[in-house]
Amino acid sequence: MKVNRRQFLKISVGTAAGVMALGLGMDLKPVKSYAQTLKIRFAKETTTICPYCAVGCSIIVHTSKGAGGKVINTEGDPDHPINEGALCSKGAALSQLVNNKDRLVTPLYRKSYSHAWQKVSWDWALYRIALNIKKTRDATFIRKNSKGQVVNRTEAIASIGSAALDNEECWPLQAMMRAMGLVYVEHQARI
Amino acid sequence: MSDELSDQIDRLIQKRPIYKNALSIYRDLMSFLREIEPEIQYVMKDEVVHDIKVKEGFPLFSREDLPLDLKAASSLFKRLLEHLTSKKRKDKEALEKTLDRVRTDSNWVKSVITAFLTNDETTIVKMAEKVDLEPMVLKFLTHMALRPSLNTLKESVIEKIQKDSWNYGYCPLCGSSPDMAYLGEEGKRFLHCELCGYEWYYPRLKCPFCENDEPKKLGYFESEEEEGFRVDFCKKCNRYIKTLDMRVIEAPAPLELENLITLHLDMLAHDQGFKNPQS
Repeated sequence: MKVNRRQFLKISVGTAAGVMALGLGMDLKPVKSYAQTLKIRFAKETTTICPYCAVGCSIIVHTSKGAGGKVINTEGDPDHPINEGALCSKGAALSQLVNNKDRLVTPLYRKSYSHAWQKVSWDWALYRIALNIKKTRDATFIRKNSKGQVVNRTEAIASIGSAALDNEECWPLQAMMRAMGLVYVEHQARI
Repeated sequence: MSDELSDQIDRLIQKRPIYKNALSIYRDLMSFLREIEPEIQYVMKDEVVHDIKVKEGFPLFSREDLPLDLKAASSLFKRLLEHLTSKKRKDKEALEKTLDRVRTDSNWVKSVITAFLTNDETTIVKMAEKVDLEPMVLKFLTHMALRPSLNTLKESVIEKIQKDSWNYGYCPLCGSSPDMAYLGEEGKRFLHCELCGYEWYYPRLKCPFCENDEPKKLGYFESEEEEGFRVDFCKKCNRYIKTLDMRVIEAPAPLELENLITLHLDMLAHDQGFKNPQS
């Protein structure tokens, strides 16, 4: 880019850059050469609501343009009325939800008395869970309580979680748990 | 000039040696201004500031009717030129020619100031070229001469500005565009007025120039080598603003200086096809 007088007027913002011309005349070559040595990267910011609890803190997610929208940084949204930029330790670590080599990507299974975890398929894990639920429920199902009233419940299974679920997810969860006779249906966080 | 500013300039020279010359001149001028400060008197005009103006989204003043002490500014303009021409320098001839003009035509400086305040680039360029001066130098000296008067005005009306209700991309005091932005504590963004230096809060995900708030049309770039500096841009109006992240930068200098030593970022922004707010 060739810089002449009028272009310089257009390029610089404010008047401070005038001191450059005061000192050196119009020699901006060193600045231009320096600019060319810099490696620049593009990114954009979008807001999201923290998935972890019901407070609903807003988070700014920085994603890179070059590397396929990779998350490069997350921070509390200072313009949101709920958290005004602040985040709890869990929300502050949100970028680790995606950028994390230890993140679980398949179900893991540990056999009774074993010390090692093994990777299993979703089909295998879901079938196994269903089998255990059915076995426990059938073995512990209470049709009537001590007063002879019909209760149709099991006290041997509990459901815990989750703050990350939204209304629409909580509905089928509740419906399914109650249908199986669970009475211990809890939320894992009490904030 | 405060020792703190002088130390900061030393640090900046070390950090960005390519700006050494400009920073040295800046230091010299600031120190000169400090020296002569007690000799200059600024007369504040009585101005009725209508609160209703702020509520309706109008700045307290517009650039062309700022109640500034133009007499004091003209006299300071002359003294700055006298100071600069008292030393040996490459552009001494043009500066002397300007000084001659100022001495022989008392209205010349006032016309320059008017052109500067009304953003009349054509007149500035014409007037500068007549005295063989770079237009940018003329703008810089005019701004420097107006600064003490602008500061006096700022101090006297600062209470009138309703900080919480101002949600615009232009200065609540003088209506000018911002020349820089910074992210303060907890990441809040503040814009810095290019003329009077007032700083005001503005949301992060919104373009200060066209108020676009679609995240898809906003973005920024930064260089890996300069952590804490970034250039925010808007793909809707194609304008950009340089942003300093104060949470990252150690001992940041006054924004005017940070603006000066990031001229290379302006060049990169223009290379990418973005324009600055004043164009």
